[in-house]
This record gives sequence, structure tokens and C-alpha cells, in this order.
Amino acid sequence: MINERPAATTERHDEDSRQWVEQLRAGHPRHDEAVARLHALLLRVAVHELSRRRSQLGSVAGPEFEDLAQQAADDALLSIVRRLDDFRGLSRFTTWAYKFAVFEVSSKVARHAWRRQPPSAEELTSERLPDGLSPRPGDRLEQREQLKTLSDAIGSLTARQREVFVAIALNDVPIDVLALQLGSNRNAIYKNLFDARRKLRGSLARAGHPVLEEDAIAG
Amino acid sequence: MSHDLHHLDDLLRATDGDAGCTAGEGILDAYVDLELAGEDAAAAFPGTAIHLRSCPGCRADHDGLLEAAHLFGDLGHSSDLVDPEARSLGKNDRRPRH
Repeated sequence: MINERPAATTERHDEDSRQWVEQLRAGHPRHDEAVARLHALLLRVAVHELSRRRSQLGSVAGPEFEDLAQQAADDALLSIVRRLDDFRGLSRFTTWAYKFAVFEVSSKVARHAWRRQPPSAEELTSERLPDGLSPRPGDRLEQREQLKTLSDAIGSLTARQREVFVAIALNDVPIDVLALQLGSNRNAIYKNLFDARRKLRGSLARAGHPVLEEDAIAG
Repeated sequence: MSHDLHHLDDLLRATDGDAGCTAGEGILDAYVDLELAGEDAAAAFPGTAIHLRSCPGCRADHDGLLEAAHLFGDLGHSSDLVDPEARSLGKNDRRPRH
């Protein structure tokens, strides 16, 4: 993992962004109006994002859906006002602000999905390879050996790496839902997943079955 | 056969230079605005570009922000905001709840 630095990006303090920041500061004559306008925008973003992630919301609709959108917009607004000084003008102000709404929706949807249907024990332990990778009678010997090596290598992961890889990569458990289940966070879970993938790729390569990267295949 | 190889590559994707979730979160707005401007966001933030191919959570957030900034970005300078979705939610009071 590396630290991403935005050195290559020019600052984009456009006039609209400057006005947003100014007017959102406490004491500005248009503060209340700016807060209300921003909240209305955040609510639209939250409604749109909740709709986009509706498949994770089960039967949530009507007032419960509206309440989730309101909560996301409210919480995003609080974060934005508290962190105005963090806005560096690397994007439009609205894009920066919408990010908070998207993150709030992301977090709330994951929490809702986890409460509604936490990952089953089978989803955390079943090492069945996805259908697209299951050995078939017509497969070449080499490919069958590659998949067998992969199955064996999964067993050599640490308990946490195996749990994370099996849940996310093999059983499509959303990463944020798994993080809640394990009392962790997305970044830490992703690190487990990254390490597991790297170890499995290495195991395949050492066994003489390297996985070509997509770009190499395309080339 | 190549379909399976793509699938396996995707399943085991772990590329050097991955910026990780935390670094990507900080600049996701800049990344998205570059994309919307038709500029090369991946060249400006290569570690985030790598990460977005590998992390399903950050990719979902990116896709959501890209859509939101595309659909609602130009509303940010309107002083007379028309908000049909908020209206349909029955929210006449635009003030947030604290």
C-alpha cells in the first residue's frame, strides 16, 4: 500500500466552490440559506445512492427509506460543516460534499444489510470455487491442476486471510458487511484480502501455474 | 478458457502500487472530477486507479460519486434549487435535523 499524493492535480478553486465555503462558515449572512441549499442537494444524492444500492436494502421502502436518506444527508452535512477547512479545492466543492453523502449511505446500507442478514457460517467457511472456475470434464489437465493448487493454497492462508478471502472473493459477501461482522473496518479487511490474494498468486506461480494478469492476457 | 483465466486473475488481483482504501477516500472527489472533465484520472492518481480495480467497496463508492457528481454537480451554483425528490419525500422543511 502507498500514500497517494495529489501532486499532479492542479487546484481548482472555482468561484462557486469559494462561495460555498464562505457562506457555510458560521456568522456569514447567508449561512442558514447555504446550509439549507446544501442539505437539499445532499438529500438528493442520498436518495439516488440509496436507490442505486437498493438490492442490499431488502424490503426497505417508504418512510424507512426516506428516514435513511434523511439520516445520511444530516450526518453528511454535519461532517462537511465540521471539516470545511479540509476542503483543498482539488475538486468542485459539491463533488467533495457529495462524497460525504455517498460514504454515509455506503456505511448505513452496510449496517442495515448486516443487521438484516449477517453473513452465514457457510459464507465465511465454504471454499467452493465460483462456477466460472469449477473444474469441468473438458478442461485441460493443466487447468484442473491449477485449480486444485488454488484450493490447496487457500488452506495455507492464515485463519483471518482465509475467512476474508472465502467470504469476499468466493461468496460475494460485501466488504463492509464483513467488516461489521468481524468488528473491523474496510481498510483492514482489504489489507487481509490483498495479502491473501498475493499469497495465493504466489503459491500458484511456485507450483508452475502462474496466473497471467489481465493486461498480459489481452496482449 | 480465456474467460476462466480472466476470472482467476480478477479473483486474485493484488497489484503493486495499490493506494489502499484510506488514501483513495481522501482524493476520490478529485479523481471523479478529473474523469468528468475527460482528463486522465488514472495518470494523476495511479495508486487509486489500481485500488479501484481491486476493492469492491471503494469501487461502489466511486461509482456512486461519479453518478452523483455527473447528475447533480451543476446544481451546486443554483440559488433557486428545485428539489423534486425532496418534495416527493414530503420534506417541506429543508433544514437538517440535529
